[in-house]
Amino acid sequence: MAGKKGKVTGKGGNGGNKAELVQDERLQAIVLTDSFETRFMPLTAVKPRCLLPLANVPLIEYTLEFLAKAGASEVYLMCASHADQISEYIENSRWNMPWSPFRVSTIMSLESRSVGDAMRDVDNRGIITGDFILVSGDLVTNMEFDKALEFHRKKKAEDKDHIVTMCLSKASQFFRSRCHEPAVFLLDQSNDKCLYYQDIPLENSNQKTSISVDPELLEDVDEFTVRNDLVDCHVDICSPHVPAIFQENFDYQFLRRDFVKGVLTSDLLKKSIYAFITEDYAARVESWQTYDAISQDFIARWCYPLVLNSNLLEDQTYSYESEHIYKEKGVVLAQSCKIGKRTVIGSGSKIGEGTIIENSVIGRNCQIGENIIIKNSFIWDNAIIGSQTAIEHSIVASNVKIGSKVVLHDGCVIGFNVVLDDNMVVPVGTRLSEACVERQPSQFLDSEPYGFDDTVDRAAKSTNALPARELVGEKGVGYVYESDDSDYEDVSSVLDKVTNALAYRFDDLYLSDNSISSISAKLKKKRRSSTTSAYTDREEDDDDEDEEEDFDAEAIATVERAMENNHDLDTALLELNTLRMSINVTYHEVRSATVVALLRRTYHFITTQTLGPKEAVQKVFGQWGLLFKRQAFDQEEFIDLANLILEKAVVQAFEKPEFIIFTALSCLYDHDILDEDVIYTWWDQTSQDSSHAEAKTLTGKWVEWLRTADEESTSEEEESDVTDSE
Amino acid sequence: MDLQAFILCGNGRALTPFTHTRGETGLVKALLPVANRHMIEYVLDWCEQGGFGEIGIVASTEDLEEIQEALRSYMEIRKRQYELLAQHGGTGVHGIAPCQPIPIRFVAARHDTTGAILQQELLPRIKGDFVLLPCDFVTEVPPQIFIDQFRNRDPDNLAMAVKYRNNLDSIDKKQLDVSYTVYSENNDSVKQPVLLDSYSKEDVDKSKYLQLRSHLLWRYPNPSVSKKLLDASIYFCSYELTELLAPLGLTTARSETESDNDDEPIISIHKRQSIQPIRFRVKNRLVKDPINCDKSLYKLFRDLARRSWQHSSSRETIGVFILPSLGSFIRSNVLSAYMEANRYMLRVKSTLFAAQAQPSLGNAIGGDSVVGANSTILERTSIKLSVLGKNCQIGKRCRIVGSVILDNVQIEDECVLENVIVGNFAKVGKKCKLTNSYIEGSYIVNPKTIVKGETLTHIYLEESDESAGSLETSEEEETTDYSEGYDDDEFEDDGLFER
Repeated sequence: MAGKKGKVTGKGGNGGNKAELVQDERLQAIVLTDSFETRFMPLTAVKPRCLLPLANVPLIEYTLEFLAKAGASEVYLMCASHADQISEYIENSRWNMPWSPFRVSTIMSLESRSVGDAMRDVDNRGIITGDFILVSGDLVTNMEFDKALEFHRKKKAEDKDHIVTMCLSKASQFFRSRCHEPAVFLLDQSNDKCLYYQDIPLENSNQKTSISVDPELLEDVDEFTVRNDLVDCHVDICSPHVPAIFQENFDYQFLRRDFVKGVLTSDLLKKSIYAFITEDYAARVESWQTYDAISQDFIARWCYPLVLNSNLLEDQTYSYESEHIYKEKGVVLAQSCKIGKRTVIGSGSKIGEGTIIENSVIGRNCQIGENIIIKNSFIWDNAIIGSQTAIEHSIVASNVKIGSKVVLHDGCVIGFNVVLDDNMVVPVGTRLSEACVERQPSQFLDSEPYGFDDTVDRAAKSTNALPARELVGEKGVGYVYESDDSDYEDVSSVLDKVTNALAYRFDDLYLSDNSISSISAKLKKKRRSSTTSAYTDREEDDDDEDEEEDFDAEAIATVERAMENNHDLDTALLELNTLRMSINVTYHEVRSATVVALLRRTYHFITTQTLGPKEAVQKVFGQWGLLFKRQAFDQEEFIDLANLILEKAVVQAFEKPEFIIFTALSCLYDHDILDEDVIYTWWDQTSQDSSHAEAKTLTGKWVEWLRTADEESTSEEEESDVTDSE
Repeated sequence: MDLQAFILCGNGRALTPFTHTRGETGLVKALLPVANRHMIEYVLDWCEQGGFGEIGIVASTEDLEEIQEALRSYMEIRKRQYELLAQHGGTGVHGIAPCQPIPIRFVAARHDTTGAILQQELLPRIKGDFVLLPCDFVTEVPPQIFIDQFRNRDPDNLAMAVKYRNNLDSIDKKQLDVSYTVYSENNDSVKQPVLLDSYSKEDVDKSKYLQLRSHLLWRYPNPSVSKKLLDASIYFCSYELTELLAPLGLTTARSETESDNDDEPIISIHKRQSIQPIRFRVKNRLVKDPINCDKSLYKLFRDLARRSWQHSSSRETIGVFILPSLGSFIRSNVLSAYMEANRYMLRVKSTLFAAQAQPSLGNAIGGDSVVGANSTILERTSIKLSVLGKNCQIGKRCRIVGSVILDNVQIEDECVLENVIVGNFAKVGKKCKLTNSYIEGSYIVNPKTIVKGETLTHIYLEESDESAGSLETSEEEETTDYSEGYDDDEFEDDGLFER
């Protein structure tokens, strides 16, 4: 069905004879303008990522330029956050002119929270008529797309199950634009078919991870390569099946780790994905670091013919000088200022006496005072910088006012319209924004909507509600933005923070493996990455909370998951134990968490009326009570357990707590988890205690009964012993 | 300096029932004939070609005696050849003295695993770079190619493992043990290909996943994984490797008392020129974990290969040399490969002696067949692409195609054997029809047996007395006989009642 299009050999999409072409030959392109990430916060709170300037050109321009070269005839921009800004921008851009190489339309997909949502939206709207290009709005590339398309068509003719060609760019494993979310592709050596995809942690993480490939996937393959040296720039040529597959699998969120992995590992789908490997430059601006890296590469002309002096925007007038210096018309330079190599200066900017600028980008209409040092930094439009300020490796967004004698240390991000008073010193890696950026999970975080257990204790922090006076000064305007990672992620993935921060240069990153050892590198976002049972096992291993509450939440979740998915006891115990050791809590916490989880489960059964109270308790405690066998080891601990059951059952607000407690205890007794001695000792202690008197009534009776029964049996035994001896 | 070669003679477990592994009927693996020569002789010839400094034949004590005995004539011939050449050539016309035959030493091994043998018994004998060889390969790739490859290795290469691709379709794929060999071609660097890891298919299937460690992927970002590569069991090792493996024996006693830091004195004792302490730490690690060497060479070298990426600082590597598919290379380590090796040698012979006409006495022995001494073949029997051992007696009107028949076999009249291996002293009764089967030595195949794709063996009850064993055997014969022979008549039960 889909194969027939590939067999049409005529080359389409380039040249002016579009009218003659068959309908199917139109090349459609979907641009995901939203990355559904928060890495560019706080800037993306004001402006969408694709409109942030890279070397004074909004990012989306690079993507559209690429699509124009690729011969796309219809471009759809999927807009989620700040959709209005994007559509406004596009309306006024040259792409909306009658002579634009393609027809561009913006699609408001405001509800989308992930790539998956956007793709489902594409499917719902039924835009797609044939094979299309799927790119993100932050792509910078000089890739020759013709070759990729040719490859795609060739493969499609060979393999009718072919649905996606991923364009990957060859680099080395440590290439700086791939530092974020490195991933491994398994490719069949003979035909570049992608066999498997997996994210891996960064090299410097001390985790002993491995990629695990199901041998079934490799059955028909003799030789394959494992590629960890590819930059995934998210340029995919997709068949019309792709949105439909997203539609069918409503849990797919991410293009790669859900969709690609899902399709490849699916037994049912039987679709294939190929990889086209290009030697050209291709990268996505997806973090501060890649922003930095790609800017430098772009200025150093690695993307030729896509260079700044080709003046992507109509009103740009850049000219190129040696040592990679680009200047627009109307730049005012003082006589004694020094412009070092790899520098871009936009028109209307004024640079004062004695100022030194090196390896930096200066936007338009910037007022840069005297004796300033700007190195490795990005100053966007209309910034005003007072004299004797030093800026090192930072981003200064549009309309920022920086007073004199200010020092911006490595990795600062100064958000739009922030005002810094004189003599301020901003420490390494600080991010400031004009208004307090509330974390708006629903707006930007794709990990939020289905929030798992970790949503429990995540009240918005109020620490950044106050202006950061100590940083911006008395007359300043600005709030500190705390990165989402440090802020809400309990798994304080320092590593992730490091990679996302502009501050750390790559050499630092790769040298500093000691300081960040033993910290999990996995993104929290993985949490919801798949619905297969595999994920629960995986993520337990990398939870490193240091607070006990977190342990509680996590442990409860673990037990709940174990019950829900019906794991075996050993797995659950192993998970709990791992958790216990990683957070270094006592068995008391483990027991408490387990008790809570079991009681919640019971409660759930009772309230949903799936089971009666007695059955519910017996089912849950009968099966999962065995966990306690490996959580309590001496009498004291078992007494503690009994106490916990009492306390937690009261807290759980059962309709009849006394009944639940009694049934739970007797159930544990029946399963030989609690023995008589423990129960007696415990009862002797608790019966003195007047609290929870009501809840203890039934238990008291039961213990009494137990005692008498016990006495009888022991006396019987004694008798029988006597008879035996006789 | 010349390489020392060690030929490790295994017990040939995969070649049952023709090897020594069960009962008394088999041969020592190294002595199993390929086209009527002991398979080890091919290896010895190959070594001769390579001009190695010394050849050591390593086998267990009991096997070694047999091998020594069997190789006596081979050595004798070799010696005489040399003498003949020396007489005639001398330093004469060409100015080249015929080379002395390479001295062959016999090394008795007491350990079970090849790794332990290497470490405990061979290391003291090793004076320089050395080669470990299996006793079962036949190849037309001259040793010089291997040696050149080895000499051109990167300085940080400790050893070079040899892999080959099976390019014979007829070898049963199932019998060959498939493994995932992970290696890096090092396309993007100047380095030679490097072996990284290997996993057997069984292990992968058992754990349900092929796991590749991400550290490996960071060290070698573009590794290849192949299921097609087979282990040639040939390892060219540098002398450094002995240093890496050596202290196990020397320092076992001290290992517990001495920690990693106290290594310096050892270095000076051993007077090595360029030893980094790193290498020593690994040694010590090995010392602490003596199991590490007590495994097959395959696993030992796999571990050495893993070592190259497992550590945070870089270590020495193990090179990999994948034999070009131009030259054939066959290891007779499984039965079908053994058969194929025989056929391969037959083909080589038939092209060599293509001109020779066959005397036709009513029977036809193809030019592609070999018949051993003192064999009788009666009239109207045809033999094609087959090997007949010594003292065989073949009856009338037999047809033997693509088979390997070892010594002292009796085959009675009107048998048809296709693709069969028959062990020593076996007897095949009249009018048998055997296809794709293996018949153990001394086995007696009853007349009119029709067997396809089976292995006929004696049955040994574990440590039971002989009578029970033989009884069992005969019973087994009866039943197979009936069930196979009269399958169509459906009287299997009657066979039992008749007894």
